[in-house]
Amino acid sequence: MKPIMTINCPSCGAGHEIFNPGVITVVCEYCGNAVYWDKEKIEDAGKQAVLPEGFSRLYRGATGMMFNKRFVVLGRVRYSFGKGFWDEWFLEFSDGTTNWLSEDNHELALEIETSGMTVPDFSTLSPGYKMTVKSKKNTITYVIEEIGEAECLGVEGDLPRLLQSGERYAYADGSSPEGHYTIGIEYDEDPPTVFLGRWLKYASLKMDDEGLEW
Amino acid sequence: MDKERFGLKKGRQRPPYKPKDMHCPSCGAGLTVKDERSELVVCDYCGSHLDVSKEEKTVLGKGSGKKWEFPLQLGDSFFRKTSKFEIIGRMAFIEDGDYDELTRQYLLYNPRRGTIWLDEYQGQYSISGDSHVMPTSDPFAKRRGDTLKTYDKREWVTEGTGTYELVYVDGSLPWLAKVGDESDYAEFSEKSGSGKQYEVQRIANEIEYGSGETLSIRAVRQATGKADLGGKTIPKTARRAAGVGKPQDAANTRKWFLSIIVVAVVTLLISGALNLYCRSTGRLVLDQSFSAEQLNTEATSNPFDVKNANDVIKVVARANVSNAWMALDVGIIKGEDAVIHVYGSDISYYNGVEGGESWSEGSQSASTYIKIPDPGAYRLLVHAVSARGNATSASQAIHDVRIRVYSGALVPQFSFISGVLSLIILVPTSWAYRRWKEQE
Repeated sequence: MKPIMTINCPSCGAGHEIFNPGVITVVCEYCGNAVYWDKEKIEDAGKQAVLPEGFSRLYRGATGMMFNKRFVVLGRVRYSFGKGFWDEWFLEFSDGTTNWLSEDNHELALEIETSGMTVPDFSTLSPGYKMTVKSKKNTITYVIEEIGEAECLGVEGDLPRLLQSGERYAYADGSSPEGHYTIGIEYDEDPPTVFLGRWLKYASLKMDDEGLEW
Repeated sequence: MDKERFGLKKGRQRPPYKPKDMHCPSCGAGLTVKDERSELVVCDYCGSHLDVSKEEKTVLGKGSGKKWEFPLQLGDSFFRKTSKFEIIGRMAFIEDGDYDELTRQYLLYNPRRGTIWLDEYQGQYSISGDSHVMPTSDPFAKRRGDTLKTYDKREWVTEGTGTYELVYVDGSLPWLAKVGDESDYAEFSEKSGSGKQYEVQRIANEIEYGSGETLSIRAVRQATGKADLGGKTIPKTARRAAGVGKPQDAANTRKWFLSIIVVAVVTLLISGALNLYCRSTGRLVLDQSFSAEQLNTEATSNPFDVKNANDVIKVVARANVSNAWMALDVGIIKGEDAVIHVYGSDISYYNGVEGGESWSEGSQSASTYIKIPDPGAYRLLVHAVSARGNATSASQAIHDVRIRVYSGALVPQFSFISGVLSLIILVPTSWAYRRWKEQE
């Protein structure tokens, strides 16, 4: 199938083929500028920091298999939490769905943005805080493990929203106490954006090129 | 959807792994940082501790100056599950200021698998990584040997809790560690004895969980390719004999103690039950009372039958002595006057009240077991003297006695001996277990 659209970078003119309709931002791999668009216009969001590569199983453009579905890594956002950083990898699966894969110190969590959730005010949270999330399938208790302020250090590839280096927001991350499920709350909008997911075992993810030689 | 994009290796080529090169801002030496997450780098040449978390590298100071010996060196490889890790950082910790109680910790790095920790304490190794499994109760309130449950429905035995003090660091670490930093720890081994480990660390207000397993010295030698690591290699036969296929941990030690205690208690209970059973066996073949007058002369009992050769008879004598004693002589007569066995039995029973508390010692009855070689009719020849109070001698009996004879009785002495042996094992083992639990 052909790409759904081709975006020409307003800065350098390079063409970028877009295949997933959820993508609204692309970081030009030629000039490093972020380009975003809506129905009416294509805008240049400026130069983005170049993110280091080669220190992870994942990389932009990598392909692999997860839960019997093929995927390709479309893009990445790197956040600093003050004492370190973590990466959010944006994945597209062969059925057209997309997911975020969060990577902190090589621990991977597959997360889905969840709407309609009411979460506690950031000021009430602290490590150890317990919150219960009810859904149609189950009820899960999460324990907040970390709170802080995240700063976007850089972006690359295709992304589903406009993200730029230097953006800051408060965040809270937690796990279910038996270590299976994850919750991530980004206090970037009102209401906050909530991501629910699950920790992945190493074997859950199979990269076509694992890069075992180093 | 363009399926081609998802085809095997249809994506972009993997970018190569390139460690970051830098220069020490203190001495100018060239340094290589293997892990992009490293925040602290200790210069190999001048020993400066460098903050590399920001673009501009800053010198934080120098370490303690004291060099610690490590069996493994920075840059050494460590193979685990077919993946090659490299030692990029080393730390040494002490507890309670005791430099003999040194724990060495190695940070192992693989750019695809991340970091794991290799710990060594007195030649025993363990390996661990991050976990998000949480305990159901306060892990720092536990003492050695206590059990802890985690939310993944596993049960652990406390190895120890305490506070580590960092005394040495080199290489690179993903946080800004400095000599003198303290962290509370709680370490556990799986109750099943699997060798799996669970640990909780508290640094300032942050709590981190880890899981791992113990490694034998042989496994570490294989993983590192180093044959000269020190530590003791226990011969396979000795390991098998000792039942220690893997390094001893608190769970295995606790299991060992509790196994012995349980076996001793069960043996004690069985011995007690057997003893009671033995005492209740036998067919009553004689039940006769003898007055004091009869005892003063040699009295003869009614005849009783012993049915089988080598039957054991139990002779139970009961005298109503209180703060008194009786010396009873009993002969066993076969037929008219053939004495086949003679024995003496002392019965004494004293009681009173002292300091508001009642006391007693001795018993009003005595039992004796005698093997009778031949079946037939037997009688007892009975004589006794008795006295009250503290009299040490007597010339005649002043108490009556009732004698019962049971034929075909079982001797309880074996159950008694096994009970005593169980106690001999149980008491010091329980004491040692308690001491072990109290020692951190």
